[in-house]
Amino acid sequence: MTVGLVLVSHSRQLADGVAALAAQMAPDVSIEPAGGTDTDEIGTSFEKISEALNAADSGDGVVVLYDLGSAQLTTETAIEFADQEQAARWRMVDAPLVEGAIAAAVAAAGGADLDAVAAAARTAAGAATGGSGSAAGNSGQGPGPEPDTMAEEHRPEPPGIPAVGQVQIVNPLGLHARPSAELARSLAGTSATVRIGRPGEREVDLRSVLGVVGLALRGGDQVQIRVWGPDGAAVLGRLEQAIRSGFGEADQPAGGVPASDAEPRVVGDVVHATAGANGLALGPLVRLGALPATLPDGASIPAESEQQAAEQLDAAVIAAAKTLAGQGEFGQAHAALVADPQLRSLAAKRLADGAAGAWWHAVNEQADRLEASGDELVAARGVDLREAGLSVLAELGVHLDRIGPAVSGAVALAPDLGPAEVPELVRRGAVGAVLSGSSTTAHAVIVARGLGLPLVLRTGSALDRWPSGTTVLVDGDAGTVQIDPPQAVADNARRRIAEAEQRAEELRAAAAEPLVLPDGRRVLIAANIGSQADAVAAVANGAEAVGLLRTELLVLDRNPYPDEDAQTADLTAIFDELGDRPVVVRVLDAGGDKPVATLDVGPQRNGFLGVRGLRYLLENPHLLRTQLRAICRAAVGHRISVMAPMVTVGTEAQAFREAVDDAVDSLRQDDVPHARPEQIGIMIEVPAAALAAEQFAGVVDFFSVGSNDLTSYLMAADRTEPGVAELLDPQSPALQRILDALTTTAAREHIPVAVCGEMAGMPDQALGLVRRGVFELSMAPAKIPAIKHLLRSALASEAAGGRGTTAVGAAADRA
Amino acid sequence: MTSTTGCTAASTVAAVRAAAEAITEHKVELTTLDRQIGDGDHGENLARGFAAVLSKLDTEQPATPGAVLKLVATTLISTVGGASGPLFGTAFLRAATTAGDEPELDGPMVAAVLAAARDGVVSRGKAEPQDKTMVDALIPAVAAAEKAATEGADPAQVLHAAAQAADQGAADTTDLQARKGRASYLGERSVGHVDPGARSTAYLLAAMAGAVETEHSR
Repeated sequence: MTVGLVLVSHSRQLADGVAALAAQMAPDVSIEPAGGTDTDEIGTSFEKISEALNAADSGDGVVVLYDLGSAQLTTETAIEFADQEQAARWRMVDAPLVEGAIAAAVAAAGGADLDAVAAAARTAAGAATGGSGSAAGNSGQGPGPEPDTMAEEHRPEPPGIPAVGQVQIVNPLGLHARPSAELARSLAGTSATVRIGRPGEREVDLRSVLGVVGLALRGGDQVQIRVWGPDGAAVLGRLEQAIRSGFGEADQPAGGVPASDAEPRVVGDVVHATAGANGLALGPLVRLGALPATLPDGASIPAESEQQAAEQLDAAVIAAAKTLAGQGEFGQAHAALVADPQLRSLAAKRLADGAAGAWWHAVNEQADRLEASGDELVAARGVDLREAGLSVLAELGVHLDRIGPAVSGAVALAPDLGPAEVPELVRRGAVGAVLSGSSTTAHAVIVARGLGLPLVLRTGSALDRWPSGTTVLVDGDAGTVQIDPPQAVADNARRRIAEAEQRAEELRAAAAEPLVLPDGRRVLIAANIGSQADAVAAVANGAEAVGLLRTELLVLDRNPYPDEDAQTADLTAIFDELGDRPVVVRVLDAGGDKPVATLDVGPQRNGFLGVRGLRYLLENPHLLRTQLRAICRAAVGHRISVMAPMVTVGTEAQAFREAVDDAVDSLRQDDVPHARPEQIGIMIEVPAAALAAEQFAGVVDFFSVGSNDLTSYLMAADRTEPGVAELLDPQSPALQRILDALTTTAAREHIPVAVCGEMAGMPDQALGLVRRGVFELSMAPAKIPAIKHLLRSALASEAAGGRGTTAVGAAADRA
Repeated sequence: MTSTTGCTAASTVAAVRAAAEAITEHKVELTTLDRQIGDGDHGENLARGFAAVLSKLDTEQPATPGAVLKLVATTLISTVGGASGPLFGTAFLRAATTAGDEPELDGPMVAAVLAAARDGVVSRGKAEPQDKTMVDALIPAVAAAEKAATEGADPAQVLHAAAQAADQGAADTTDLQARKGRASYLGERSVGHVDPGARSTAYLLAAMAGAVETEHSR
C-alpha cells in the first residue's frame, strides 16, 4: 500500500493528463484525477472530488493537489463533509500541479509516508519558485520508510567502466522537479544505470527525481554524469545535450534570487508588495533621499590650509560615528560606513574645497559607484552611505534635510527608513510611507505600526517610473500601492480613512474598559513604552498597565551616562503619567541591536549572541545597582515591578533577584525613601529559558515573552537582516510549539505569563495567546484599542456560538 | 397564533422553499448583477441548486431543523458550480452542525446558527469585510440577529432583523471595490455595482424571515 494522490483541476483533460504523466513515473501509485464539473464542463465537482478522495485512499492517506481558487474551495468543502477520521489523513498541498504531482507520485512510489509525500510536493513548489525547500523524506518522524535515493551513496557501483561526462547547468533554477523529471523520462527504453552529482561529491540515481532535486543543482553548477550500460556513450550524449538546452528556461531571471526578493506583482495600476503597518493613506508621492550631488554655493567654507581641512574632517567623522553608533541598528551600520578609510582617502583629493565639500563629493562618488553595481544589496548600501554622510556634514555645520517640509499630507517613498525618521515623518504630517526595501520586522516598520502610519514595503523598483507628486493610495493592510487611483476609488478611500479615524476614536473610548474572559479571568491589555511621550500615548489609548518600560532610550543620548538622581527623575516623570497603573520596568538591555554610546558595548562581544542584556549588567554590577536604586526610589506611591532581559539559566535570575534585594537593602541603610518592587520577573527570549522554564520556579514572580527575540533566536534569523525576514513567521510550528511548552510549564509552576513582543499586538496571534492563559498582552499604545475590540468580539462570538451560556456572553459584552 | 414561536423542522422547510422561490424570482436580476462584475452565472447556478433542493424536499422529510439545513448543504454543494457552491454549502453545513439535533430553535439559537454560517463562509472564502462579497451582507445580518436575540426576539423577528441588515449590507457593497473572487479582477470597475453574492444572501434571509413568520402565525 502507498499514499494516494488526487489531482483537482477545472479541466477534466488537464487533470487526466497530469495523472497520466505522473502515473508514467509511478505506475503502482493510486492517482485519481478529479477534473471538470459533473458534466465535464470547466469547473470543479464536489462529487468527483469526494469520489476521487475515497478511491485514492488505501488507508495510508492521500495528498491532494489543485489548480485554481475554487478548486481549493471545493476540495476543502469535500474534506469538511467527509468522515473526519478518514479526512484526517488527507492533505491538501499548495504546489504547482504538474511538478507537485510528479514529485509526490515518485515519493509515494518509493514508499514514503504521508508527511514525506506532502513534503515532496511542497519541495516541488520550492524548487519551482527558487526556494530551497526541505528535502523530502527527511521528515524525521518515526521509522517510516525513506525514499531509497537517500541511501544512494552507500550502494555498490555497478560492474564495468562507466562513460563519464561533465557539463555546466545553464538554466538559472537548475535541476528542480520538472527538468529532473524530464531527464529521468529520457531514460525510458534504456537499461543504463546513470548517476549524477557535483564532481567528487555525493551522487544519486538520475531515475530518482527526488534525489536529483535534493542535490539542489543550480545554474552555473558543474555536474558529473556517469553512465553504465551497453549504450552508455549515447545516453550520456543525450543527457548532456538536454542539460545544455536549459530545459526551455534559460531566459528566466538570473541567479538564485529567492522568490521573496523578486519584484512585487504589478496588476494594472496596483503594485502588490508587502504589508508593513495597517491603514489607508491617500496623497501625493514624495521621494526622500533626493539629495543634491554638490553642496549649495557657500555651504562649504574653504579652510586656511588642506591640513586644517583634514583635521576638521577627521574630527567631524569621529564625532558623527560616535553619535551614529548610539542610534540603533541602522545607526551602527552607518557609523561603520562613515568611518570607512576609502571614503576618507577619496575626500583627501579635494580638501582644497573645504572639509564639507570634499566630504560630500567623496560620499556621492562612492554612493554612485555602489548604486551602479546592479546588485540590489550593494545598491542599498549607496543609499545608506548618503544618509550616513549627512551626519558628518551636520558636524561640519552643513544641514541637508532628507525629509523636508513637502511630506505634509503626502506619502513618503524611500528605499528604507531609520527608526528615528518615522516619528519625524509623522511630526511633519506625512500620511503614509512606501519603502522599496526593508523587512516586516525592521525597527522603522515596528515604529510605524506603533504610530499608526500606514506603510507598504518591498515594492522594489515598481514605483521608479512614477514622478513625485503622483497621487497614490497606500493600503497597509493589503500591502498594495495604487497609482493615480480613479476618482471613485479615491473618494471611497477618503471616506474609509475618515471612517477609520472615527472608528479609532470610538475604539479608544471603548478601550478604557477592562477585558474579562467568559470564565471571569481578566486579561490586562498593556502598553510597551520607552519615554514620557509614550506614557501619555499609553494612557490616551486605554492601557490598563505598562507591560514593558524599556529603559534604553532614557540613557541612549545621555552623555555622560545618567547618574542615580537623573534616572530617578526620568522614571518619576513617566510613573507620574501612569498614576496607579501597574508598570513593569525592564532594566537596561544593552548590546544586541541596542548600543549605548556612553557604555563599552561593541557589535561582536555584545552582539545578539554575546554579553547582552542581563549578562552585561551582571558583568557591570554598578550599572545594575544604580538603575535598581533609581527604580525603587521613583517607585514610591506607584505600582512598580522590575524584570531582566536576556535570561538563559536559573542562576542568572537568582543573581538578578539578589541584586534587587541588595539595592533595597542599601536604600534602607542610606535612609532614602523608596519602595520595593512589587514583583521580580524575567523576559523569555532565549529558547533555553522557554524550554526549561521550571528552573525559574520560586525565583521569579512572572515571565514576559519577548516574542521578537525569541523568534530570532529560535529561527537563527536576525530581525535586522531583510534576507531572512521570511523566516520570522509567528505562525511557524516551532514557535507555536515553544509557546505551548512555556505556557504549560508556567501553568504547572503557577508562574504568570505575559507577552510584550510584537505578537501580542498581532490580531491573528493575540487570541491564541489568551487561550494559552497569558494574563497580559503588552503592545504599542496605538494598537491597544483595536486589539481589545478584536478580543472582545471574538470572545463574545465564541460565547454566542453555543458553547458559552448567555449570561457569560453578556458578561463579556459588559467587559 | 400557535402557542410555540420556535423554529421547527416544518417551519425550516417552509423557509427553504420560500428561499428557493425568491432565488427563482430574482434569477435574472442576480445574473445581470453578476454579468456586470463577474462571470454572469450566479443567478442560474443558485436557481439550479435550489431547484434540486426542492425536488429533494418532495421526497425526503428531515425530522429536525438541523437535518433540513444539512440536506440543503449537501444538495447545493453538488449542484451549484463555481465558488458559490462550496460557500453556500459550507454556510448551510455549519448552520446544520450548530443546530444539531434540536427539535426546535429559539431566537438565540437562530442567531447562533446564522453566526455559524457566517463563520463558515469567512473561513472557507477567506474574505474580509469590505471585500465586496456575501460576507458584507452576512456580517451585519448576524450582528443584527444577535442583537435582536439578546433583546428577546423570536425566530421570525431575529430573521427579520438579519434580513433587514443584510439588505442594507448588500446595498452598501455598491461603493466597494471587489478584492475577492472573479470580481476582484475588475479592480475599481467593480465599484458602483451591488455584489450579487451579497444581494442573494439578503434575498435568502428575507424570504426565510417571511416564511417563518407566516408559519408561526398560522
